[in-house]
Amino acid sequence: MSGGSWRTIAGLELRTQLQGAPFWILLIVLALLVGSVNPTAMLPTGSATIGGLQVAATSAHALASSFALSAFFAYPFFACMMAALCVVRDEELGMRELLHSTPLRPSAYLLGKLAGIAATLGLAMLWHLAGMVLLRELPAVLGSAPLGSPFAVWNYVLPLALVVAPGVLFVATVAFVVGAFTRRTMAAYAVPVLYSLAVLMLLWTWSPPGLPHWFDQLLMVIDPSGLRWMRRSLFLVDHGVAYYNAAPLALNALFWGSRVVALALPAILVAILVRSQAARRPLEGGRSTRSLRTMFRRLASGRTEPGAGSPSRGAQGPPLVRFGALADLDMRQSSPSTVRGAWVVAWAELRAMWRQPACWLFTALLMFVVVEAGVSGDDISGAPVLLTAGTLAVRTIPVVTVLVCLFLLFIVVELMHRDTATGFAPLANAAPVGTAAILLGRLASVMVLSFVLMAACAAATLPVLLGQPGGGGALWPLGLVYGAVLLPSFLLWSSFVVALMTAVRSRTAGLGVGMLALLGTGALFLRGEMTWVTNWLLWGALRWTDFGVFPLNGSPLLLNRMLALALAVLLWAVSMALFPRIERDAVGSARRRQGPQRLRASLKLAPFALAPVLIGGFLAVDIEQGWQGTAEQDRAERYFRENAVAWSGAVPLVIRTIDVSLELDPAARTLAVEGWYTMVNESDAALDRFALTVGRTHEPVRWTMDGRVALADDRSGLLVLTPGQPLAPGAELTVGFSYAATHPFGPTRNGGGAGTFIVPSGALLSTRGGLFLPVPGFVDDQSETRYGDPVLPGAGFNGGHTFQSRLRVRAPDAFIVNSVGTRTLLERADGYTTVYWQSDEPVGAINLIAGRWQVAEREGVSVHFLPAHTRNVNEMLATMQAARTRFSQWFMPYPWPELRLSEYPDLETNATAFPSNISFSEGIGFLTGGPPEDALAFSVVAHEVAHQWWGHLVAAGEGPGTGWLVEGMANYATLLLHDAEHGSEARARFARQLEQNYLDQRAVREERPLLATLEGAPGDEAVLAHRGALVLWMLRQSLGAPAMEDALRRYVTEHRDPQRQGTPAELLATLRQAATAPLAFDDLVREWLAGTALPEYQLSAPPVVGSGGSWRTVIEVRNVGTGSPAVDVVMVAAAPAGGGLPASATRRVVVGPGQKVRLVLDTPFAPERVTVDPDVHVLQLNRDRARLELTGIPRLGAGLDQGLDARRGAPGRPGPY
Amino acid sequence: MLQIRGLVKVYPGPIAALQGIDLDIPTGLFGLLGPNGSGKTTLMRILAGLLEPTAGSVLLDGVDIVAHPERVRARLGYLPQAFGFYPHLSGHAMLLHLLRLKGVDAPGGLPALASALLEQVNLADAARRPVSGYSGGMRQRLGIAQAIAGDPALLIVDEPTAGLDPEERVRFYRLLAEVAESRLVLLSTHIVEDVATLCPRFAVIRYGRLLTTTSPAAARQRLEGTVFEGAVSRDHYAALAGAVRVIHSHLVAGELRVRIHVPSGPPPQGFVAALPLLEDAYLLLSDDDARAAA
Repeated sequence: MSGGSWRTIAGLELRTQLQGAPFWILLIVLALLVGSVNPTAMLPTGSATIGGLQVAATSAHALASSFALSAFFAYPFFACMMAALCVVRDEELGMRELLHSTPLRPSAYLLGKLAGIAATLGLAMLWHLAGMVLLRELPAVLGSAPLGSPFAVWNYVLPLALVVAPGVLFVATVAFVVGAFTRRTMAAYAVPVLYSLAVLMLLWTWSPPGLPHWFDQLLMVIDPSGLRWMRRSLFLVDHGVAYYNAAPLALNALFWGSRVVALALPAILVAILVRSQAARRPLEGGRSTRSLRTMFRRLASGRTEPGAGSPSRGAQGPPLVRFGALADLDMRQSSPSTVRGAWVVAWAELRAMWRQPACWLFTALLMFVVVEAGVSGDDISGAPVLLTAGTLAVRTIPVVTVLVCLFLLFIVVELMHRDTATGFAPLANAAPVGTAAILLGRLASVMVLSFVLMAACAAATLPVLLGQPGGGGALWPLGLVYGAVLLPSFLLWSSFVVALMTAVRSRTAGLGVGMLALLGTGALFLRGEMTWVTNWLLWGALRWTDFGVFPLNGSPLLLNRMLALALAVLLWAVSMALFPRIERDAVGSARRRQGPQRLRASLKLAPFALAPVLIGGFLAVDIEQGWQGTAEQDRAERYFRENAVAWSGAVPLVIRTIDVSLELDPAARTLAVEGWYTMVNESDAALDRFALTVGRTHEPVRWTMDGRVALADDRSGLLVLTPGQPLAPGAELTVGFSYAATHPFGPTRNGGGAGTFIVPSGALLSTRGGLFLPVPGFVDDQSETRYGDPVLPGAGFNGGHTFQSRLRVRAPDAFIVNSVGTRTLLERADGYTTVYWQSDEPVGAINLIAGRWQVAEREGVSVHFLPAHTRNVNEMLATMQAARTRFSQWFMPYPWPELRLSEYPDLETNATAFPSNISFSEGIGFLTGGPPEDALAFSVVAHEVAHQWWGHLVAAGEGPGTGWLVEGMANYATLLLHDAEHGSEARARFARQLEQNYLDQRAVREERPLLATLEGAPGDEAVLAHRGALVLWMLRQSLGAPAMEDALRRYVTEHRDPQRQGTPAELLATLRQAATAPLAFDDLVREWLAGTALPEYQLSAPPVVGSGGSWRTVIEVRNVGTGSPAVDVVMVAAAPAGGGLPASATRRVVVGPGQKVRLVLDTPFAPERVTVDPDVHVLQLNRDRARLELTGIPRLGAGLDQGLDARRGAPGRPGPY
Repeated sequence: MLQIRGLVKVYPGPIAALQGIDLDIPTGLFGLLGPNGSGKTTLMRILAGLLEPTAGSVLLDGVDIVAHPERVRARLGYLPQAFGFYPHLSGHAMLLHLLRLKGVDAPGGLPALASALLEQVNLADAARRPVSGYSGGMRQRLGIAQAIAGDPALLIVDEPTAGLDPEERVRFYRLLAEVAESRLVLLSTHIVEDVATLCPRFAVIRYGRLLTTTSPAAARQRLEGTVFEGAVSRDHYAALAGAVRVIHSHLVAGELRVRIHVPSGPPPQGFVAALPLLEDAYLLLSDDDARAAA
C-alpha cells in the first residue's frame, strides 16, 4: 500500500468532514451532554444528612461513568453517518471513474477513508475531553462548588482512551464497512439503530434471574460501550461513597478483553472488506454489481460486465424512424391537478419504499421491540401485570416514537435528497406538476409508511394480548393510540424534516439537525421541562385506563394533537416557500430580504402560523393557570412565605368529628361541599385565632363558627379564623364551611396522573392530600410533588389524631360511592343516589371513591370493579374474606360490618387502605398476573387488608423504625395468611419474594439497623417492610407461633386506644414477655433489628461414601456473612420413582460470622442434594448458592470465586428443597 | 415567439454568466452556439424556469416566464445538459412517471404512449431494464423521449447529442426536425455540425454576450472566396500564422493541415480555395471577439 496515497485520502476526508454539518453538530451535542449528564448517575447516592459524605463528580469512577454515558448517547449516530456516507458520497459525486483510473489501490482508498474518519472523531473526542475538564474542574477552581476529588488528568484521559475511543471506533468502523460494502445509505443507517438497541436492550442492563455467570461475562466482553462491565463490575455491588471517591478504576481481565474485542472485531471486518470482491473493485457501484437480480440476469445472458447495456436489435439494424409517427401519438400536455400530481408522486415514493429491504427489516425490528417493551414492566409491588391493549400501546409510546422518528428521518432525508443525488431534479423541477403536489405527495407517502408501521405495531401486540389467560380484552385502544394519537406526531416530524431539507439542501446537514432535534427533545424530557405544548412525541404524557379514554388528559391531548397538525401545515407552507424548485438569484434574494418584500413574504406564511400560535398559546396559558402551572406554584410559594414563620409552630385545632354533605358531579368534574368540623383546642394555651388550609380550587369558601357567619383572613390558601372569644384549652368549636371544588383544576403540565381526581368515570378523594377537605393548621412542606397534588407530610390530616366522620354523598345513579365506615342509608330520587357513611370507630383518615362498578360480595367483604376486569376478582374476594377472618382471630376482631375494596382508574398506580375502604388502582390486583402458584393478587390484597389493623386500628407513632409497625407488620401478616391458606410452600415462596425485594432494593453500604431507620432514604422501605417482615417471622420461629400470636394480640389491645400510638420498643417489650428464652430473644433483636446481620452460607462436601442402605455424608457449612441464626441444613434424596416426597435428613446448626461447621450425616438413603434453610425461615444472602448437588464430583457451592453479589441469585420456584 | 430582453445573470463571485441578451426566436429550430462556459446552459435554465435571472425579461407568446415560470412548464419539453433518473426504475417505468408528472395524456393510455416513445428513441428492447444498467447514450435517449413527450410549445435541448453515436445522432436529428415543424425548438450546443445540419437560424454566444444572430448559409456566404486550405510543415507554421489568419489547423501524418482566411488578395503558395464551412465562420467570429476583448 502506498504510504502517501492513503494519507492523502485521509487528509482530504478529514478536511471534508470538518466542513460538514455532522461534525459540528456532534460537538454541540457533546457540549450539551457534558453539561447535562449526571456525573454520578451510575454511582450510589451519598449521605442524605447535611455534611455527610457526598459523591465526588471528579472521581475516577464518576468520570468514567460520565464519559461512558455521554459517549453512548452522542457518538453512535454521528459517527456512523460520517463513516458510512463517506464512500457513498464519492459514488454520488461521480468520483468513481476518476479514482478508478488512478494508481490508487483499493486498500489505500478504504483505509485512508477510515483514517480520516478516525481523525475526525478523534478531534471530537478531544473536544469531549476539554469540555469534561472545563465543566468538572472549573467550578471547583472558581470556588463555586466544593472540591471533589483532587484533579488527576488520568481520571479524564483513561476513560476517554479506554472506554470511549474503542466504542466509538467500533461503531464507526462497522458503519464504514457496511456503507462501503453495500453502498446503500439505508443499510448504513441501520448500524447506529441496531447498535443502540443492542446496548440498551441486551448488553447494558439485561440480567434476568438465572442468567449463567459465563454468559454475563461474555456479554461484558462483547459490549463495545463498556457500560455493562462498568455497571456489573464497578457499581452493582455498592462499595460505598468513600471507595468511589478515592479508589482508581479496577480494570480487570474482562475489561481488557472487551477493549480487545471492540478493536479487533472491526479490524477483522475491515480486513475482510479490503480483501473482498468489493475491495478489488471498490469503486464500482454497489447496486449494479451487487443486485442479485442483476447478477443472475447477467449470468443467464452470459454477460460479465455490468452496465454495458444489452446489444439491442436496433444496434444491429436499427429501424428507421417513422416520420410523422410522433404526431400520430396525439399527445396532449397539461398541468396535473394538485391531487393528481400528489398521487403520482406518492405512488412513485411508495413503490420505492416497497423495494427497500430496509423498510421491511425495520418493520420487523419495530415489531420485536414493541413486544419487548410492552411486556416488560411490573406493578409497584413488583408483580407482573396483565396487559390491556391500551396499557400496552401507551407503554410502548417512547420506544415506538423514537424508533419511528429515527427511521422517518432517514427515509425523508433520502427521499428529499434523491432527486439531487440521481440528477433527476432538473427534469422533475421542469415538469408542470406543482410544488404543492410534490410536497404533498411525499408527505402522503411517508404517512402511508407511518400508518403501515403503526399497523405492524398493533399486529405485534396481538399475540401478546391474546395469549394471556382470558385474552386481551377490547382491542380498539390499539387503533386509538397507534393511529389517532401517534400519527399526528409522525406527520409533524415528517413535515419538519421536509422543511429542514428544503432549507439546508444537504443530506448530512439534514440528518445532523434532525438528530439534534430528537436529542433536544430528549433533553427537554429528561430535565422535566416538557409541557403539553412542547411534548410532540407524548413521552410520559399518557396513562391508559380502561375506565375511559384519557379521562384526566383528554382535553390537553386533543389540543396537543391539533397543535401538531397545525404545525405540520405551517411547516408544509414553509417547505413550499423554501423548496428549491427555482434556483433563486442572489441579488434578487437580497432585495427580497429587505423591507416591504420581506414583510410580504412573511405575511404569506402568517395565515399558516395563526392556528399553531393560537392553539399553542391557549394551551400554554391553560397549563400555567392550572393545577400544575406557575400560578399554582406561585401560590404555593406565597402560602409558605406568608405563613411559615407565624404558623409553622402553631398547634392547630384538632378535629373531633367531620360532618359533611357532598354533591358529586363527575361529568362536570366538580364537588360541592358543605359541612362542619367539631374542633377542640388541645394545646395548653388559649387560642385567639386558628387556621385551616384549603385547596386552591376550593372556592368560594364560606365559613361559620358555632353557626354564625365568620370571615376568614385568606393568606394565600391559609384561612385564619378569629373566634369571638379566645378558645380555652379543651374548649370545642364548630367550624362550618361550604365551597365547590374541581379536581384537578385545568390540564396537567405534561400528562401523567393524579392522586386526587374527579373525572367522568369516577372520583378518588381522600384526606391523604390537601385537596379534599380543609386541613387544620399550616401544612409544612407540601411539595412532595412539585405541582399541586400534595401528600400531607408527617402526621397527616389531623396531626395523627383520630376523629369520627359522617358523610352524606349525592351522585348520579350510575355511580356507586364508597367511603369509610358503615353505610347507614341509601336513597334514590330524580336520577341521583344519596348515600350516608358513618365511621363508627375513630379513624385517622377518610376517603371517598366513586365509580361505575360491578360488585362481587361475600359475607363481610365486597369488591367493586370495572366489569371488564373480572380475572382476579374471585381470588381477591376470597383473600379479603380469609384475611378478615384470620386477622380478626390473630390480632383483634374487625370492628366494621363490611370491608370494601374498590377499583379506580390507573391515574395513579397505588393501593391505599383506608378504614374499611381499600382502594386499588386498576393496575394492582385486578390486573396482576404471574403464575397461579405465586398468588400475587392474594399477596397484594392480604397486605392491604392487614393495614386495616396495622396502620388504622393500631396506629404507629413517628420516629425511627415505626414504619416497621405498619409495612413490616402488613407483610408479616401476609406471610401468616399464605401459611394458613396455602401452606408452607406458598409461605416460603412469598418469603423468597420478600427476601429478593429486600436484597434488590436495599442500600448495601448505607443500610442502617431497622430500629434506626426512618423512611425517606433509598433502601429504607426495603428494610422496614421486607426485612422487617422476615425478621418478624424469625421472631415467631424463636417464640413459637402461639406465644407470638398472644403477644401481638396483647399489643393490639393495648394500643387500640387511638391516642396511644405504638413504637417498636413497645412491641419488642410485649414480645419479649412471651419469650421463654429472653436472652436468645435479645440476641436475635440485637443482630437483626438493632443490627444489620445478613448471613451467607456456602457448602462443601467430599464424595459421599456408602452403599446399600447406609450412606455417610460429610458437609462443611460456612457462613461468609454476618449474623448467627439457627438454620436447618437439609439433605434430600432423589425423588422416588413411584412419586411422593423424597427421603430427607435435617440438622439445625448455628454458624457464626466467618465460621464453619462440619456435619456428618449417616442416612439410609443416597443423598442427592443438601440445602441450607430450604423452607425460607431465615433471611440470607445468595440463597441459591447455599445448596450443593451431591451426585458426581464434589464441588464448592457456586459463587465462592465471585465475591459479594447481593443481587444475583434467581428467586425461581424452589421445590420442596 | 420567444422574446428575450436585456437578460442578465450574475452568480456570486461575481461571475457574469449573461451580460444582457436580447433575442427574438420564432417558431422552428433555433440554435445557440457557443463554447463551454459561454452561458448557454444558464440561458437554457432561465428559459426552462429553473433559474431566476438577475435582470431582464423573457416572454413566450406574451407569457412572462421570469415572473411566472410555472406557466411555461405545461408547455415545455426540456432536456438538460446534466440529468439523471431513479436507478431502481426501468426505462419504461421512469418514462411513465415523467409522463404523469408532465400531465401528458394520449388516447391509447400512458403505458402505450411510453412504449411508443421508447420505440421512437430505439429503447424498446431495454424498456424493462433498470435505468441503472443503461449506458450513457441510452440515458440520453431516454431523456430525449421525455423531452418530446406531450405537446410542448417550447422544446429546449441542451447539448442533446452528447453521448450519442453517429447513428443515434442522425436519428435524433430527424426527430428534432419533425418536432420543430410546428413548435419552437431551442438547441444549445458547442458542436457546430449540429447547428449546421439542423438550424435555419442560430445565435453565437460567448462570455455571456450575443455575438451574432444569423443563418448557416449567410455565415458561409460571408466567407465565400476567402477561405483557403493547405498543408505546411510544423517548422513553417509559425511564419504562416504570422502572415495570415489561421482559422484552425490539425496534424495529419506529420504535417499540419491548415485552413486560413484571406479577406483579400491571393493566398500563400500551396493553398487552394476551399468551401467555407460554418465552423470557419464560427471560429473566425470567436477569434474576432477575443481580439476585441483583448
